[in-house]
Amino acid sequence: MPRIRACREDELSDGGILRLEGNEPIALYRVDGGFYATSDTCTHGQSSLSEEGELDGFAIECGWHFGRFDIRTGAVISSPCIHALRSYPAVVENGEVFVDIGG
Amino acid sequence: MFNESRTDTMPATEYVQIDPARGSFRVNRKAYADPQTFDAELERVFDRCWLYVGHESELAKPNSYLTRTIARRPLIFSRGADGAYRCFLNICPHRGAQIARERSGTAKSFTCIYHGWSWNNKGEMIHLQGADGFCEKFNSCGEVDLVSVPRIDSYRGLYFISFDPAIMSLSDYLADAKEYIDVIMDQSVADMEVVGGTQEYSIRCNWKGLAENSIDIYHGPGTHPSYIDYLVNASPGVTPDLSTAQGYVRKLSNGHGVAQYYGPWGRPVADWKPPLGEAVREQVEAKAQEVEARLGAERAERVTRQSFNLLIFPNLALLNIHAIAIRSFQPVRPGYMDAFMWMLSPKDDSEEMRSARLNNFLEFLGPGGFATPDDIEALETCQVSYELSSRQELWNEVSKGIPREDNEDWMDEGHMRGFWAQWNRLMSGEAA
Repeated sequence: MPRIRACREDELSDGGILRLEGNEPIALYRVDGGFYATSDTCTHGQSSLSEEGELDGFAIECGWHFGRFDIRTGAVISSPCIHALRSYPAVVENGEVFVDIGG
Repeated sequence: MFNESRTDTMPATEYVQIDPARGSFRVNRKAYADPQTFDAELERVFDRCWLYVGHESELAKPNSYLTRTIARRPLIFSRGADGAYRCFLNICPHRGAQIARERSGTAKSFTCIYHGWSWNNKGEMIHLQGADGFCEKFNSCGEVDLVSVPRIDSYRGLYFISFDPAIMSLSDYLADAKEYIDVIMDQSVADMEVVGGTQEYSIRCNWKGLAENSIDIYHGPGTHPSYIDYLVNASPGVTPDLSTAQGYVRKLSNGHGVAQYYGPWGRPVADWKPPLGEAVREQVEAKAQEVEARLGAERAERVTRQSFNLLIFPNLALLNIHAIAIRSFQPVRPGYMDAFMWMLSPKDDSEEMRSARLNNFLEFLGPGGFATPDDIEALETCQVSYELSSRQELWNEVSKGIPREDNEDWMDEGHMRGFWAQWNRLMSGEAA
């Protein structure tokens, strides 16, 4: 499975979000020491979740219309969002964070 | 220019009457109470002037914003990621809902709660909910971008806006008032910043009551004896005798005006007197030397020891008394205004100096101070009489100082006659 190197583990503090540029930008989150990754573009209004969203526990709230997703699965938590975000596995190896972006 | 001429040669109007033979300058009290006058002045005065919106330090961070209502218009004062200061109507172009609903915050974008349209903090539309229901060319002219206030500019950190696209430059508008703003901003080589929160209060009086009161020294001994007594009792060595204080009032261009004087209370920059307390004496005296070395003796005297109350026409007062207060007052109804006050301080003030400034700011000014509650009481009783103007013609006298109009004392009223001359000129439709 292709994967990309996202950052060093200590480059993202707890509660922080990092935007990974690419064809489909990815938001990398760190919560309670764990790393999680989803697509960065809200499925409702095309805002950037990493740039304008607000993280509350495992929920990312979009800055435009305040819909929320679960960063662990990408699942919709609240309206007006209907479609889930894509979710990507994030792993830490030797202090480096990698995101599996699939095939 | 008209406003540089003597006010006693003004033509009489329904609002202002001058009788040079008796040395009388009168203002019809209708000007403070009549609903049609109020509506007309929003258009002829407020929409034709530069209006203070905020200080640069209040948007220190990129992507920060605050919301303010200026002359009845709800506004977003915002700073983009590019660092530029902008001002928009806080009104949705779609149906008119309020867009930003917090007093201040950080936002790269704003979303209307009604139908979910979004704009970036440059005011450009970035999301049209249900876009497939709109024509492809919809908003091709920016018609649903946020409405920008036509003019925004700053002078030494003070941001002003104007709803008149053709208005003269801010620099020309401020004209000779800049000299006084410079005296404030030259207190330190460091930039100034607004410190702490906002003093916010309402007065059941027309806004022009506070425009006059903010530069009126004449009322001081009569209205505020409790403050003078407090100073004398709390700080041995303070003289309650204001007759020895030197000063003047001066009518400035475009309706601005100033009263300058030596106060008995000391100034954190850099005129130590007992009310400031021994704790800061050394620092205040060291600051005095720094200012003199930097600006020379004559200018240092103005910066450190002289106080002034400056009115920037129509609704901003800069009170360079002990602490520095920025006071703006907004018309709400003919007999009601909202007043706002912020304290300005050099960024490099020590903790003790800032504390001295804040104490001064709180004990004299504001709704919990020694002075403002007295002023509010006086102004609200004035408004009661102004409300009679629909049934009885009554006039305010603004005549003190007329026999010495070119050399007026600090307790004279020539600067207020300058305010009224400009107001009258705008209301009667003479070219600005």
